[in-house]
Amino acid sequence: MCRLGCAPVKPFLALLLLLSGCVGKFKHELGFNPGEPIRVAVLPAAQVDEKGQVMEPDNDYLIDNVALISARLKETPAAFVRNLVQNELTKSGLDLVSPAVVDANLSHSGYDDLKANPPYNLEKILNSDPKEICSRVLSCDAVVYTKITDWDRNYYGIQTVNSVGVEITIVSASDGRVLFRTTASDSESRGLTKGPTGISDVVLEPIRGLDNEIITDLARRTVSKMLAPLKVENRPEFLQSSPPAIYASAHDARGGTLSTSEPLIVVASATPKQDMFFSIGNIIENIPMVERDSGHYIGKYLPLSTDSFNDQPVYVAVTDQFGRVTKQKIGTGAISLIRN
Amino acid sequence: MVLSVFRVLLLCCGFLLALQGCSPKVSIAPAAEGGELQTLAVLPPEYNAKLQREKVEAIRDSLETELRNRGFVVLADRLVDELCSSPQCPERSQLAERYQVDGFVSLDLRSVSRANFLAGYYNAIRGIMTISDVNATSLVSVEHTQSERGGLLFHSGQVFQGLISQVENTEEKSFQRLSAKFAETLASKVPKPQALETNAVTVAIESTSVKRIQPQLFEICIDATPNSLGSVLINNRRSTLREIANGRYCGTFFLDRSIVENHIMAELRSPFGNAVRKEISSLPELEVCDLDNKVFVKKAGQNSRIEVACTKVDKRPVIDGSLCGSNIQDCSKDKLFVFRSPTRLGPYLKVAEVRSPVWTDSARSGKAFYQVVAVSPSGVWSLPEDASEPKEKK
Repeated sequence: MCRLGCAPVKPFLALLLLLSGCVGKFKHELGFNPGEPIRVAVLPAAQVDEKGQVMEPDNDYLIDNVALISARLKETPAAFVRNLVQNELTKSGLDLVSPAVVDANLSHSGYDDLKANPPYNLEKILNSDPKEICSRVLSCDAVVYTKITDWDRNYYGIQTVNSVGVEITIVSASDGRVLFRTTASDSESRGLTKGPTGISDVVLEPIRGLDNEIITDLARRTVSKMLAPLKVENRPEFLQSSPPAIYASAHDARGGTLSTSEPLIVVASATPKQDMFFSIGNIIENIPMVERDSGHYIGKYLPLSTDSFNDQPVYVAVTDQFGRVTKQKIGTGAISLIRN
Repeated sequence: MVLSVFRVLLLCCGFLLALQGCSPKVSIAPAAEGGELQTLAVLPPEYNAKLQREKVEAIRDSLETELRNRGFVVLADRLVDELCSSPQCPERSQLAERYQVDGFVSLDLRSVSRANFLAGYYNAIRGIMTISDVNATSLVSVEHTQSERGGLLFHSGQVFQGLISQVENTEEKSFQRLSAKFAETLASKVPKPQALETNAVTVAIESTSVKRIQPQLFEICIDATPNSLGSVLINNRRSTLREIANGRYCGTFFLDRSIVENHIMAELRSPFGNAVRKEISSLPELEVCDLDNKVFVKKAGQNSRIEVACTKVDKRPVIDGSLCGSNIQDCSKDKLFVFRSPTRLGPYLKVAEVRSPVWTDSARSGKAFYQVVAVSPSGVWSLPEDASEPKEKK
């Protein structure tokens, strides 16, 4: 009985599992401290085939012309993913070179290809030497290479599966070391496995699942997870230690007015052996403080001849090796430096 | 029959309203159609007082990133915040003149709403982005409502998807998702800029200089491209320099050896994000005698005698009698300040300033606590060291 009945069920179940879209794979290799403000250039991304060769994206989906179901992407998947990488990296400690500067300099340095869309020689960019990019083309410390290894919308009648695969590598320009590498593949489905509530939904939902917005949302989530280790709050070391603390702080500006010839002295008691800074409003930022004794920090600010400000709060901030920052506004009041 | 016609009409109206809410209203002046806008300054956003400032700032950051991704050169926030006294920025002519800004981006956020009703949710961000010229004449205006809905009610054909989307609808996640899409849509409606002239954003540091003002207080200056953002990188932090004259950026810093041992870099950033760095190698000597575990107090009759040991035997400090030799470091030029207190916790008052490593406190005969500080010829102080009773050499 079962010989006849079970045989078609097993592959069907396997297919359902495969199509359910819950098979995200993420892999990270982190080889540097993301708290370092290294200067990074995000190069144009490229979509590659199984052999790693740059390929043209296949955008010719009929469904993208059907209003209310899907719309064409305004840019190629590679350009879209590059923007996502750029957006996510702004949330890390890395210092990003402006994309306009990257693009303009690449175009003026022989990396352009006006016949292509976007107009770059992506093969040359993917195989470029980071040292050359950061010394001859741009001013940077490291280069980000992005490859789109998968960007597919597959329709199986009762199920639609969208899949995205991305590889991001950050390479140091000084020694060619891989600072960070992350690979991911993830998928999202619509149709039978997502619990259709009627016969019409079995037919309609897989078609709706071809909406470009689903694959772009999937890419958004995927890139965000891939670059999560570069966001300091996500690093595992954080779970094993307390963040730095500030116990007390004060400054010596009597009545809140600074002398133009005497330094302002700021003192603080905080977690020992950390980096401590103080700032005056957003005008004079991050003046380093010296640890005079264990946990006792002192900092001085002597005004320059052009400095002048009114009613600015003074903040002290302590930061640990993981880049966690604890900030305190000094309670002794705001300060002013007024010149006649 | 009448009822069904009415239902169809109602559906059509709802459908039209929904469509209207989704597509942005865009108006572009002829002067901005050909991609003439290239360099933008994003002004501080105007927003409804009921909105959280953090959310407003997050949307502003997203908009800046998206404008950069679109190929625009966006002026650094620091310069805009420094110069503009209000969100309208009446000082925009100064920004235009100094940094050749073509357009001023204003973001007027009307609402950030979040409705969660167990079986479904509806989140929306509504606002208007306007790009105007130096005379506040509108060049580009985009009004948009970015919304998302989910949960069982709006995914009625896919039960599991409805549940998944409901679970994923946390405030932080949904806001991040929505604000990114909102900014993306606004930026995508602005005509793409023409290719950038790379010279427009190039910056260079010509030289760096360091001047000692007080023993550990230094003035660090760089001579570089004018109208840029100068800073000094100390322990991965940017300390701001101020432009005190055309192309001369300075700041004063209180430094010690531990800071100087790390590389201190000067950085110059163009207002549009390009940057160069140069190591500051001309920092003066901040060496001072290390007194760690080398200060002892002994009885000398009724008085206390302070002795500074300078050599180590079998890894234990011993009294040498002479000033620090070459075994550890040359401290012969340093002065020693002796501080005394009646209690271990202080307060400590300075009681002597000596060059000899041995000093007897003839002014006090009872129990007292001492700390010693070495001061280098340039006035750099060591960390204070408690005087302890020595263990005799076996």
